[in-house]
Amino acid sequence: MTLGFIGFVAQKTARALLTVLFIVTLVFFVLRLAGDPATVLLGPEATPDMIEELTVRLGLDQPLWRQYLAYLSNVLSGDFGSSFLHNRDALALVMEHVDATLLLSGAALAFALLIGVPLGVVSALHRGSAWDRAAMTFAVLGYCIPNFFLAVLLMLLLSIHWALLPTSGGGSLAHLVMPSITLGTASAAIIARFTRSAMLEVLGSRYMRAAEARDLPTVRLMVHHAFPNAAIPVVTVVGFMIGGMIGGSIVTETVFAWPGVGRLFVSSVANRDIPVVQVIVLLSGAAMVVTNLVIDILYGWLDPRIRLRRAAG
Amino acid sequence: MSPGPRPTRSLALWLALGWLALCLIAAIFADFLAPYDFTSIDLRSRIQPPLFFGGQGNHWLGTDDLGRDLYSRLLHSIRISIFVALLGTVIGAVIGTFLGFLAAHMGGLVDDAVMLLIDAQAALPFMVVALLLIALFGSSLSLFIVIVGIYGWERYARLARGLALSARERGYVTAARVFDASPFYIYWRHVLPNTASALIVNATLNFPEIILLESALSFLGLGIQPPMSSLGNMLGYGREYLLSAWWIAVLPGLVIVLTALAVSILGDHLRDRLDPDLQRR
Repeated sequence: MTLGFIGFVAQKTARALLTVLFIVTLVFFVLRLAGDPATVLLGPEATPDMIEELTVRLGLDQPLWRQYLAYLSNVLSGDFGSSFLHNRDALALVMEHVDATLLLSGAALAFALLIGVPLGVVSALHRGSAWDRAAMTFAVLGYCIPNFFLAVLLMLLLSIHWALLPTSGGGSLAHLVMPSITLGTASAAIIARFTRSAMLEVLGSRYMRAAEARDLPTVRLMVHHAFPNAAIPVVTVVGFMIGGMIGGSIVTETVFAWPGVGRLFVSSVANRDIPVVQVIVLLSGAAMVVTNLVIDILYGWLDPRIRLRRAAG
Repeated sequence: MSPGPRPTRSLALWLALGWLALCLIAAIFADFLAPYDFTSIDLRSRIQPPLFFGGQGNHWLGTDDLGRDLYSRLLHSIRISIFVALLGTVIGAVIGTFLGFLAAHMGGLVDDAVMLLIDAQAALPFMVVALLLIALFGSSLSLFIVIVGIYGWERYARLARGLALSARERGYVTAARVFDASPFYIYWRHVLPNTASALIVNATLNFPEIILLESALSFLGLGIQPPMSSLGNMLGYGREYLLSAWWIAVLPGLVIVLTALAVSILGDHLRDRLDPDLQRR
């Protein structure tokens, strides 16, 4: 842990905090653009008294900069108001759904890695072969099939035609299969492409040729020399997927009625349950920023050239 | 993005172009080509399967649960989806390019502000932003076009900013400046034409993503609203009838996949042709 590295981390953290602050600010202003926040936040069934009370509580009779400061302090203390559909604290409601989304995204990521990495490695090792072409065709198709259509196709085959799996809901392992394939396929395609190009780059490098010249066994060559170096770009892609989890799972969770944040998001949007929508937006922004920060720091730690370049520039 | 091998490029490219031409014809001449009105209900011929799947000739792609002709509905949906995606692509390209050039030209605080906006946009999954806007402002066609228009602006902005910064160092800009040309003239007549190819490549990447975004939102019931119909909206509707009539959902789904595939094949080709800097091994 050198001084340079600490500076690098501090700089990255400051940038991340600034981005989060900016997102919070953006949401604040967009909320105000949409009309009187007290009316918007309380929903259609609010009485004038309730609106009056919230107007005072949120300080909406105050000047804009005061309102903004009050908003910031509410956000910091976790007070986002309460859901008018469920009549409870919005943050607590969203947090209850996080587990299901984590489970689904974890399963999808595992699926994506199990399919994507071997495909990428095999097609890089047999570049130009039929294997390569088949794997890359899968990669293009997997990327172009929208997840909602894939979900429909899977339901048709696995639930309706062959009656193997339940169409929707949560709770059992069988319920998890189709949603995780749906959510993981596009990622598997991207991971396969990135793994392939990273492996090709590594295989063509001088240190690989040196290792080959030493007549090392292929397995050792791959495990000790090729994989660790090819892993960096793949780790980035995986990081983006983790950060984009909430946004990514919206459609899948809705189609399969999976009880996660994504489905809650869609139903809240359809019912204009603004406090819940606001929590989910801020949460997904924060998740993305934090993941990016972790990736950046990991990068700097793994590859000294990156932090030195930043420090110099 | 696609460091794939080069398969038989020409065949795939011709197929892609052929499909896109068909879609364009469908979009332009939808009213002319459609044998029925896309909203006309005929309860006597409900849920007819397509030809070759047990259907009859008068509805060759079958009908839905209200007896509406799916071929006519598909033509109309292709028109709406392509119209929305084209408009969205143009809006995003104009906003993004303008902000990128502005940031490069002004530098300083403006540059910082634009970069911060780009970072914030990149940090928020776009689907989340779209849903936030729909929750706040309700779903209308004009808002929807604004939403798909915003999509992807940050990539144009980042690209345009970088290209403009490097273009400024080139001789032609210096020469124009010596002749006292206005900044607007320089950007419009010199920088833009010289950076257009990279921006066009970005647009071909953006276009299928907008089609997918439009379909996803409409599929969720938050995008194009009935009685209008789009590909995603048809697919979402058909989901309810998977058990009895799979074709209602599968047909628009196939059109979406083929279109996204065709545009990305075309995009790959354009990238290789237009943008030698981005060419890969």
